[in-house]
Amino acid sequence: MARAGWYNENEYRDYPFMTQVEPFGIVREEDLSLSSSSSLSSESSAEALVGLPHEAIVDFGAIMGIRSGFDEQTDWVYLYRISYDAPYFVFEFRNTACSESIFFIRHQGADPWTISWESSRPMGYEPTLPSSQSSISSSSSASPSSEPFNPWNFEPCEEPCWEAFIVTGFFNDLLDMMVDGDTLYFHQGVWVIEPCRVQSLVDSFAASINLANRARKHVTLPERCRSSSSSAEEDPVHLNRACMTGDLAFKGGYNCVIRQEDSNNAIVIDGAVGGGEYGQPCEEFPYYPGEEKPDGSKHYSGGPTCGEIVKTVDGKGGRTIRIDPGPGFGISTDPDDPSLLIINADMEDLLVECIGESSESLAPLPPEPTPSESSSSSSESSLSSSSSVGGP
Amino acid sequence: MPERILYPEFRDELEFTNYPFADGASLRGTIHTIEKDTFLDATLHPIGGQHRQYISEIEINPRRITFRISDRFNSNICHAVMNPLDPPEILKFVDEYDRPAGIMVSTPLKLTRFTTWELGVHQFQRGDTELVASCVIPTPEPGVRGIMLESGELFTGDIWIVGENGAVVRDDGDGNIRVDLVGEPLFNRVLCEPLELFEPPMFIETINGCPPNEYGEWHIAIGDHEAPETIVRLYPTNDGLRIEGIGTRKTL
Repeated sequence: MARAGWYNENEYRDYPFMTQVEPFGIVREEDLSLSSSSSLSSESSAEALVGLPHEAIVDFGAIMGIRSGFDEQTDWVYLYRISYDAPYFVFEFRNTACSESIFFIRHQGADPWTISWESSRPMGYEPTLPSSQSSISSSSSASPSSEPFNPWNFEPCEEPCWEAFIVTGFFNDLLDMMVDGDTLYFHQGVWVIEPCRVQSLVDSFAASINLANRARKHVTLPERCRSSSSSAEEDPVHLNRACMTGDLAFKGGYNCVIRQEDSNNAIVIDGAVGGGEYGQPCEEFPYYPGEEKPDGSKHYSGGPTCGEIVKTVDGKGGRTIRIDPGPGFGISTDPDDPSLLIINADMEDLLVECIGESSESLAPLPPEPTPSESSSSSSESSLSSSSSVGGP
Repeated sequence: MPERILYPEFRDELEFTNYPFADGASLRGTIHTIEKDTFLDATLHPIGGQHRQYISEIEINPRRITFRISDRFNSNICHAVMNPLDPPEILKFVDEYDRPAGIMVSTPLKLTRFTTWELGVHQFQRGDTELVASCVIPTPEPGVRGIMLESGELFTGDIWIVGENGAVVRDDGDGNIRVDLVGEPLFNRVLCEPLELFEPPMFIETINGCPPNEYGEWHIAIGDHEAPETIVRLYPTNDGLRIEGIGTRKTL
């Protein structure tokens, strides 16, 4: 006995949609003004109308892209609307995982079992009918930029969220239901595609490599020295290259050795001073195009160079340098300005001889002052520097 | 005259057939047999999976029931887990890295049948539970399917490599990803800032407007253009400098 073919069978049943029981919920276009398209569960705006003609759509399949976030157990694909703009029908499919829609355009006189593949379009996209010459879609591309950006909000490489095919049959019943300009909207859970018609590629492969660098750490003033309006340093990320695909290779630059271990299918990125293709860098280099050095600094990270800070005074360094007065001198601080050091040659306890008369009159090198002497001295001070942890 | 439905719905039509198992599949395991109407539909696409996939094991535990899929070359290539106290409508299969590998459609009521099976592992041969070819999508794994860290964490999709703390990554052309390890000069700041333990230092850059030399040295010189032989002397001490005049102390 001859049997009906696959498409013929589907002409008379709900497949590729899940089986429904009447009444079917259809929201007419005018009702959408009362409820947003994303909340079509509002029963008040639903009408029990005729169902979708089985013969219109006889097969359907979808592949959910790697970025779709589709979960087979909790998400589904569904028919969202049918528009009739004579002589074309537009079928819009949506899913509950990502916000992009797929539009199929069919001429009302299209041959039965016509198959077409389409990719998803962003929310707000309106398909261009063949009779219209206007171009609607637009796309943005990523390019290296010196501007900080958040990679986690970055638009992914130009790949659709999902793709699908449809096989259409006959539109006679649909033409009886709709007149030119009509649009039928369906509740989200009414015309759901059979789950096994949807293949999920979520997390199934590495789609692209994107490179970015977090901004280097900059020298900042201590909290007490900042003005109240200045905020803490941000930690932006700078894009170097987006959407690298194809045959890629790692390359060791400064101080970096990269090797491949075939035994465990691993790539090991290791650090070694002077290693890599370029050895050690002779000077700083910008982390991203357009990086500038902070004002007044010779370093990209800011702050003074080693030669720009006082490390020793007459060969004496360290955290604290004391300047002690000997005979004839007094050292004191200004009572009004503690940061002002006053060295005074008061000659109070010194009997000066004429140096030219006798070389023996030159005083010998004095002994180191004892702590008691130091503390009893009324005029001594010290130069103190702040903590040098971290260095410039 | 009995009524005949010419075009039954998809699930109704296949409910009492072997589908999604092959026509010749007996559905018999070591002890139990899977009822024909238990599963209504299936699609399996584990990465690296070959054709002729089948349910190889059903492991029954009080709190979880695990279904395992094998093929001609791989055993346990993917699995699905369900809670026997709350069976789902769709069994979601994942591979060892938790990547989606397909689904099997049933009903919660039908899946509760497995709760009556004895605890333990129930095994099946390929001929017993082989799935029909249209339900299996062999998915080869050419190229890089993901990047796994030493910790076992798998990255897929759009992978970001972000250099920080002295590591710099950049596109070096021709698909080369260059990695530079130049270090973080302010490493103490980086390490301590999250704990708010770091106090940025302040340095003396000039004294009386005079900067140090290129080595950071700053000198105080004793001398006078008008009197070359001055009585002022400057001596280094253990912790600093001592400034004094030469002569003898007055005796008062």
